[in-house]
Amino acid sequence: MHTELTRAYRVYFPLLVRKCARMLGDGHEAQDIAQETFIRFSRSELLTADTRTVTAWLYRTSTRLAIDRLRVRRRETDDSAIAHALSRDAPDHTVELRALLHTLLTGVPEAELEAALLSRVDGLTQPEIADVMGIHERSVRRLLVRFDRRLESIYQRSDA
Amino acid sequence: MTAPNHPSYLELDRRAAERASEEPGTLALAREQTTARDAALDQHVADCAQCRAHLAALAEARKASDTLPPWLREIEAQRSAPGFVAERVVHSGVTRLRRRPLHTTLIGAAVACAAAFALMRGPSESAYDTTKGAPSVWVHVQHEGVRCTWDGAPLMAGDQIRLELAPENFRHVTVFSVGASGADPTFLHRAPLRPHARSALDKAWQLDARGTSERLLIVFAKDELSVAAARKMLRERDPEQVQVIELVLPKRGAL
Repeated sequence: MHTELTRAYRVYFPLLVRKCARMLGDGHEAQDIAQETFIRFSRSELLTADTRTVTAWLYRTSTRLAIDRLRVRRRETDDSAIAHALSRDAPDHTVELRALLHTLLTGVPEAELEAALLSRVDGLTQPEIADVMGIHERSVRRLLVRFDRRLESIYQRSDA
Repeated sequence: MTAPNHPSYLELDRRAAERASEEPGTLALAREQTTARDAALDQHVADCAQCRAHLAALAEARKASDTLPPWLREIEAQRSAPGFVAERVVHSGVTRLRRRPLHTTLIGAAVACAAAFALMRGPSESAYDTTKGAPSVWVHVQHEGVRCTWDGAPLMAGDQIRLELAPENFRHVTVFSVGASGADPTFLHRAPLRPHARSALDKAWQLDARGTSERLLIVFAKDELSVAAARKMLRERDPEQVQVIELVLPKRGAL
């Protein structure tokens, strides 16, 4: 028998796992965050909501949980995938990337990091990010510009 | 999906979810209703190996997910139990706020005022009474990007709170948090206040997952206080010198 929960699990969990793997790599952390997101979703009133609403909520919640996880474990050594994805030029210097990630996770406001992850890792357009984050498109633009400036200054500092 | 012509992962995932949600009997109808945007997406996928691979991987994973894993079976049982109430989700989005009818906004404002009055607590008074000249506190909560005034509902780890104060004739505030052990309060913030003016503190705090509630002590004083002096006042609670408001913010899903 297919209950609502089984149907939702079948439809949404695979995409959630892949979304988390994009942010955290293919390890147990991605699986953990996907599970945690799905558990929250399964207890919520959204279970029978339309696909657009659900996917926006899943993207938003999993991104925030992933940021929290990265912040908690930022000293661990397996976070380079996310820094690599965030960096526009994606350089190969792992040490620099970890340093960059450390700086990003400690110094960047959550909304800015969230917008950057959605843009750089998931390839969302600005209207899509606005939809997912529940903010105005203008605010998304502002967050991404600020983030780019921040990255630029980090690179300038590291070059110097 | 980082090349400019690729759809985003969100768009692909939405399309995949829509297709996976279609019942076999409704497939033909759904296909007829496919929009021009969907058609363009389908065309892109047909021509793009990378996007096709993403959708194929999702379809493959879906085949293996027909039964619930153990960690979800418990929730399934909870959902089927009588009296189960799904958790409310705070919808985000400026457009949603704009659409909110006026009467909802007014009810919200009334609830906020009621919460603020309920929070006004003098040292010798019950929780719901106050005296003229007593300061008040409003708690603003940011939950998943949406700001609202705290209405007494449990908060979640990750929520941010900011205090707004109406100090009446007090000129200084010190904020402490109290741990579950009830040990010495931890100093959080101190700031001067403008008497008889409402203002929000510069500082906001993010809730962690520890404990089942956050307990804050807000010490209003007539004059500027050092942290040590505020602690002393907190112990003595001389109503001529200080007013203390205690806030207990319950947390949901805490460890």
